[in-house]
Amino acid sequence: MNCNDHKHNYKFSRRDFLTKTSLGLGALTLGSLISPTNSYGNFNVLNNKMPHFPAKVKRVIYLLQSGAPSQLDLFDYKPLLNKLNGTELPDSVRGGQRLTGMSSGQSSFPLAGSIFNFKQHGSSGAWMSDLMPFTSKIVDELCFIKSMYTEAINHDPAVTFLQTGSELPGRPSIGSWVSYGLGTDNKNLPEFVVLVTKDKYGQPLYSRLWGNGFLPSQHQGVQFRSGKDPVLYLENPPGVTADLRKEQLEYLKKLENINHADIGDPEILSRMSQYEMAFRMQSSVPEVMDVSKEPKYIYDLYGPESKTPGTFAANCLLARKLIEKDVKFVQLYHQGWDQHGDLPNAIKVQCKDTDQPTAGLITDLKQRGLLEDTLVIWGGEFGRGSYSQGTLTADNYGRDHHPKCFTIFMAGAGIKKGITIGSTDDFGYNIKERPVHVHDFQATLMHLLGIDHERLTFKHQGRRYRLTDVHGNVVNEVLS
Amino acid sequence: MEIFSFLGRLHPLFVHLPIGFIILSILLEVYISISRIKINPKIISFSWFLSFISTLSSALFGWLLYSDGLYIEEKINLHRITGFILVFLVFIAWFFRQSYFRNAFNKNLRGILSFFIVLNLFVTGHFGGNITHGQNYLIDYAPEEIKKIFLEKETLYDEILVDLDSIKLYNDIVEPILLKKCVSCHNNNISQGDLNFSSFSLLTKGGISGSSIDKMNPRRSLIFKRITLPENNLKVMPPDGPKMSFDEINTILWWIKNFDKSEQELSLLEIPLDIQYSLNNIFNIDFQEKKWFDKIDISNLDDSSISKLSDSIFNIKFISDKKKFLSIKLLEKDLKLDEFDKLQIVKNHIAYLDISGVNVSDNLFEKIIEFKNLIRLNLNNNNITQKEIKIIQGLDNLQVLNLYGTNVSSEILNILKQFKSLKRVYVWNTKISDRQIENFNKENNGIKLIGGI
Repeated sequence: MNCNDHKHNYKFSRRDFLTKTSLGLGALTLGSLISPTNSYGNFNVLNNKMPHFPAKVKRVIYLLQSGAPSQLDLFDYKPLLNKLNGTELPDSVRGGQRLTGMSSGQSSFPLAGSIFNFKQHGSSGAWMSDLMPFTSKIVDELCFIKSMYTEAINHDPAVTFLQTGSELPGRPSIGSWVSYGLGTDNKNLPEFVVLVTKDKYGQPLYSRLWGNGFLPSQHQGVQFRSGKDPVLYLENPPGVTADLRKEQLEYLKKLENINHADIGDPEILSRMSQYEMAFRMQSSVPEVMDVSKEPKYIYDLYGPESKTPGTFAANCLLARKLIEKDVKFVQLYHQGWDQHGDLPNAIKVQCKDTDQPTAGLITDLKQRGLLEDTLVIWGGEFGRGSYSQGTLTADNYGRDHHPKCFTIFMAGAGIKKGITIGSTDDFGYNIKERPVHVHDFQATLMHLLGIDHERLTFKHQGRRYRLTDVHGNVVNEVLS
Repeated sequence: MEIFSFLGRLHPLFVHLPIGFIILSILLEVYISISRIKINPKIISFSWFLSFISTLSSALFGWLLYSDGLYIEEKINLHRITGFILVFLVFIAWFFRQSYFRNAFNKNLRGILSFFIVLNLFVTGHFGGNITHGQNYLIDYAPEEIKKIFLEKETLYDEILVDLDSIKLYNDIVEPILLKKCVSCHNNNISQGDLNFSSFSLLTKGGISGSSIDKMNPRRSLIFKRITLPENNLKVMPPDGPKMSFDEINTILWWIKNFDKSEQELSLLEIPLDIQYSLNNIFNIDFQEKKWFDKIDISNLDDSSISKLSDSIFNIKFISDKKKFLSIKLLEKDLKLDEFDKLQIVKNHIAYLDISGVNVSDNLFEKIIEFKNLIRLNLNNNNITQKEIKIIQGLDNLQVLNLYGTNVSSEILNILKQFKSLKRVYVWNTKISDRQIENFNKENNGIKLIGGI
């Protein structure tokens, strides 16, 4: 994999111009001669995008639970919270940790034990609450990280941090980095596809979360619409045949090439490759998005909602189909986990949406042998706190944002099955062992895909950027 | 006799007396040679006489100490020789200060003799000091630059590059450490403290201070105690040269805990993570199971052979930038044999092959069998039966076989056992029943059948 092999980097900047012209016009000519040719759009073995080392993971499905699910009510069993239910969160535990403006004004911080029952499941003995009966059945396929932590305390910076490695908008998303680093395995579909559950509300999602940032624009995530038509205008208008459309594109390409020769903006080429991709998607998308041939037992596996387009269940099924077609990175978003109040009721709805489809997806991938080289990730952008936000009653409470610890789980290629990494203290407030920072998680994800996160860089505005910035250590304990 | 041992041990104390006398005598010699004031020659003669007597007595005391047998021949040899040369030289110096011979020895000869006596004195003293204080005593706290010049470089252990099942705990791990750090003093010839580490059976016997191994309380084992003493303790082992490193101590302690398994291979032992780190540091033993791509020795593919494939019906990708192994997936629904033949030029480099969802013929499998480095083969959703799988059972590197959605039946189960490296077989949606899958997996023959819903 050659980093920065794109023409974006061979444009002459003002500084290049001054440097090179000061060396003489000859140097200027030479500079453009030795600039390597663009390797994009090449779909064959000569495409020089290769992993740094043999990867166990070829494809990723990231089930991002936007809004931050409460780890204390799902995975991180803390009986002490039930015992001390209603008593004040000790200052020694909180340790001066900042709170959001939503609960910092509270006069008291009563500890809130989960009202849900926890049990151990599988031969790995993983603790799960009753909220996730289907996922509980497949815990031996899962690898939990209970000691994730992040730096942001509010949704937008936290989810931006998780997706791009920076709290500030503008950096490329993980999927874009993967597309940039590894290229495509299917010339008819984008490398990075985004599916968002429809009719869910809560924290907003922005297209920049799957944006390409400063990377060439063909690496941005392509969002398929939630609903009957995932991609609009796939059909040619009446009177336009596929050949006609192709011919039109060829003429357009000639014009754009003239344009590119004139101006030299690499985005012209990016745009052209996107036109061509759109043309190819006219035939590939209807095929991959057609779930009508799926047998009933597959719908049953993903749950009752899997026949309703745009639901999380339907998106999980689509994710499998996209993975089967070698789409590299499929990112699902499911909103509605931001339960500041009325958590016990709201979380039930969320789990009903996601539990069976998640377990169904993992089971389906497994029986098809796809878990051999596909990784599934489930998790939010941060965790939720152990004290009640708002009034704590016998059967109701809320939980505020908590960046100091949260739980995610993974399943599939390259990681150990049926294990739990890290743990939190008895209050579920601080990490007790093996902290895993968001950058560590990103480094591990890249490692699993065969990418050395320190070597995949892109030079932009005078410095080389990478997903993990200057941080990140691979969590070797999870690697199989 | 104890009295001799007692006197012998006074040697290190007594030696400082002759040093004083000899230096005094030489200073007197220097003084009379450069000063005009005359000194009675008898005084010088007497001073030399004291030097001789005290040198001789210390040498005798030294001999007694040596006879105790606590010291190693090689280490003491130089000190002994130079010591006796010193006795001789001091005798000459005294002898020629006698009135009869005073004129036989001129000033220059006297100077040369004095020079050699001083030189010999320092050399003898230094060798003696090395025995009592250890070789690096003088430079232990010297500035780094000086240390670098004098300190011996520690030699490294040989790397152990074989598999864990051929590394024996004592023979390959412990013995090299003992050989390097202990056996020079505790062997068949010397056996300091009556302790002999030159073989496993002798080692278990122990020495004067009792057994060196305490299996019940590994940390109380003498060997562990002595190697973990503070560096300036007189009893610390090894007394000379570099002490045991943390990793060596860690390994020795772990060995004592597993003393009864000394003869066993590492693959049979449970090795804690910290010991794995230590063994890796000392011997560079790799505890990670070797990945298949590290095991198969194969050259890189050159670009010319790959460029011939660029327009084929396959998606062909290198699995890493080492350019050794390829991952190949069929893109079309239809597989023509002549297209497949194009893969022949890279046949040894194909690690992953995905020809799922097509109609395939027997002839195809005759070609696949030649892909001897195939690791993963996807044949799912094809019209194949166990007959085709039997053709390729000679694929010795094949680890994963995906057969879901094919027509294979339970007859395939015995064929699967013929594959040498097979680990996982996907058989969902085939004619194999869930019960057959369950029973096969119970047999525990290294292959896991994976079914489905």
